[in-house]
Amino acid sequence: MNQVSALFKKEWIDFFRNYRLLILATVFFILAFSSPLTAKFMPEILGNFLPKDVADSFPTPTAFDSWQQFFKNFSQIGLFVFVLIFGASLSNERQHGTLVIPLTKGLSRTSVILVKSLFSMIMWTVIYVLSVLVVYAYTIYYWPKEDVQHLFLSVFLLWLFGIFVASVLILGNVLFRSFFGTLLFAVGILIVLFIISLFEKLKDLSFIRLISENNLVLHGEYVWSDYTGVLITTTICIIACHLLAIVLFNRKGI
Amino acid sequence: MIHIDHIHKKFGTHTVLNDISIKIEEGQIFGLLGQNGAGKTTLMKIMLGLLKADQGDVRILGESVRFGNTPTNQHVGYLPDVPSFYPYMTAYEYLLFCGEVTGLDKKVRVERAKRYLALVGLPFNRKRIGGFSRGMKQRLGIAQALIHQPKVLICDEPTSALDPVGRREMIEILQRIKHETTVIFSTHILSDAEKICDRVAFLHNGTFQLSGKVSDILKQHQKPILRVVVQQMADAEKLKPLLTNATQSGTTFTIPSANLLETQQQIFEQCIQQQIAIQSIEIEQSTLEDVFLEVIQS
Repeated sequence: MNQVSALFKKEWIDFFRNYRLLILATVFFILAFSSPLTAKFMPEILGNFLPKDVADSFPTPTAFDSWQQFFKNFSQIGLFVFVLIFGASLSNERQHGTLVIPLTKGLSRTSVILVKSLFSMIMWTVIYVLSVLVVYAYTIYYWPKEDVQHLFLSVFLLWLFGIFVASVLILGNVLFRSFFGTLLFAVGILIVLFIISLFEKLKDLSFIRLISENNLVLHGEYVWSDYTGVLITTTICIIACHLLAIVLFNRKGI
Repeated sequence: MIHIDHIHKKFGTHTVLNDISIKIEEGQIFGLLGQNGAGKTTLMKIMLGLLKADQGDVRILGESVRFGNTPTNQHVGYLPDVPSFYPYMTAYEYLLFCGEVTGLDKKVRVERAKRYLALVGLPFNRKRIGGFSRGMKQRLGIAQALIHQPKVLICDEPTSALDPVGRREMIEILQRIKHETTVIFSTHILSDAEKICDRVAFLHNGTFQLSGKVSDILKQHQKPILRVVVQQMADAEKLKPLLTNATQSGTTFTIPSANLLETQQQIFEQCIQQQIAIQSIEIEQSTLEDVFLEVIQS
């Protein structure tokens, strides 16, 4: 227990003092604030530059547009920044040899993996939830009478994808000593997922659904029961990534 | 206390350690000496379970060292040759971190972190390790190695990367902690070893060529030597071919001799003939370094 708390404190100091918290929070909050604002004001702004008949043809923005912007921003830029921030958390330590001293003091390698992964997941969760609250507040403010359906499910799916990405990153960190190795690994996994989603039979199980169907969920086209298969496979993959990372890391020389 | 028993280690086809055995007793400063690449670090890593020996066994306090996460490490503090710390932490925070990793209670680790910072002469302030000099990092390295009060402290070349002031301070620190723990340290700087070691072992060509108490080794191998310093490099070049059994460094020649008077006479004669100006000539006893050079050359 001592070791876990020591590692968490260390991760936090690293995250805070190396400005990673600042970068992650700033980017996420800018994305969060801009989502409802873009939805609300973009037609007006464009209207100033475009001919009147074109501008009038824009549909009136709705709460859906606000959330659509949010999902677009977070499934692309948001996740990419998350990968940049946590993509080298362990490989950096392996490169610089900073783990040699703690490991010779009896630090368990399993704790190292689990704490690193859990820490990135907690940070993702906290900042993601705060961002969702920001978007929610603005959306309610601008469109008080409109209501989207299954908001929690829709937001939950993207959150789970972030957790899956964190698991892929920790495995990549064990497999590769460099950040680019991990980055390529993560991109490779993403490509594989896209390919899987092309097959009609496997389509329902592809994790890409977690970040591609959020808007449809809001329109009530999918409900929780449609995702049982994906939720199970995602959870299995998250656990498998961790087990594999632990087994491999325990065999690595330092 | 520590038994190293018939250790063999090869990297590819290159044999680094060839049947190494030695016993190290409690309360000593033990010097592991050898040239760069002699296998000192390899032997230390085997003692720490960081490398796997091909054959043989290391026992620390009666317990065998296992490769990987070895329980014997709770008795051992380790200072790597180039220690890397978390640059964003302060020295105090790093010591608290190490204390927590080894399972010390909060009160104990706070007290020890402060004590060992003072022992190694690092100030208790907000300066981050990223801004430390090599000497300061080396001192922090000693402090972190001692935080769980290990029975054995293994230091890999703790003085080699330091300037003369840093080296002297490090040697003083090692002498100070001798009463708390058994110290094993490797070095290729033999004057350092001579100053503080109780026992030494010379590692060369994969085996211990010589080991024992420093005083015994010196008594056994020490010979009178003549140290001749000439005035100019040109003189040194002229004298070099005439002194076949001498070791030269710059304008200084070290000549072992069984018969001092005879050797002295030969040198003077040659210097007069060749018109070489002698700056100084001294009779000395050979040092550990001289003994080591002799062992390697033979």
